[in-house]
Amino acid sequence: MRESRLWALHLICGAGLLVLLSLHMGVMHYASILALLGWVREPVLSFSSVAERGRGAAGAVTYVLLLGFALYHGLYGLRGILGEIWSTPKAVRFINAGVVIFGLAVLVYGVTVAAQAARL
Amino acid sequence: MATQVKVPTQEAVPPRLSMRLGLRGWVYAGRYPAERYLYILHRLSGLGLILYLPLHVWVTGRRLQGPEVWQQTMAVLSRPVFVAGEMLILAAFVFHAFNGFRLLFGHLGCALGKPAHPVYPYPVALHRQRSMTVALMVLASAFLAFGVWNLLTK
Repeated sequence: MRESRLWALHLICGAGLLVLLSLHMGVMHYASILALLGWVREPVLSFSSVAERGRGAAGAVTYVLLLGFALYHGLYGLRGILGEIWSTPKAVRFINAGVVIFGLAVLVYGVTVAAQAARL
Repeated sequence: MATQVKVPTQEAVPPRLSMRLGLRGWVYAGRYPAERYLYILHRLSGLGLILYLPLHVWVTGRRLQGPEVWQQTMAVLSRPVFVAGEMLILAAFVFHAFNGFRLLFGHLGCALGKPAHPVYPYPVALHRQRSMTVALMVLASAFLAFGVWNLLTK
């Protein structure tokens, strides 16, 4: 894939993160406001609340999308920073392989967790 | 009598200077504008968030082992060192999100002004975007202050 497309995907994932991660952080860190509006039930970190949010296909898909956006956006940024420090062709190949393997491993683990949590 | 032009010999030419300043160049390589420091903070906050992400996925996966394990995990995470870490993560997220919004706006060509002829004093896109930058950073500070307050009072 051409670098410009990877960059565009980085921006698209960033825009997606602005929406999904803001919702996630809103629920976790601004719960007192959202509870006033009746959107969340406190305490947000109790087992029942956490299980309820991840239950069902919609919860699982939202978490997987959030994880996918975050991994791509973050690892693309990490790849760029590491590529500035170690810029030889061999190092760039090593960095590319490293971020892909690491990203896929975390994604597979996250998808497994989300799928199992959907049935809790 | 014609003056003789002095041609520099190979020995007289100074060795080529490296343009790479490495990590030091991130922090200072001249007179940086404010946006350059936002760029450095954007990188640092992004690095912090991507290093935290796998740990966060692992911690949230602990709920699959049942309510007892989850309560034990939450008890460990309520220690002051982890609460301080959570505040840092919140700060990194809030800053990265608001500054990312500014960057996304810039990439889409918004709030940069119309192209103009390069007549002195030269129009600089960053200066045109400065008021939006300041507004976004004020908003980020307000969100961060409220988030920290919410974290300390929960």
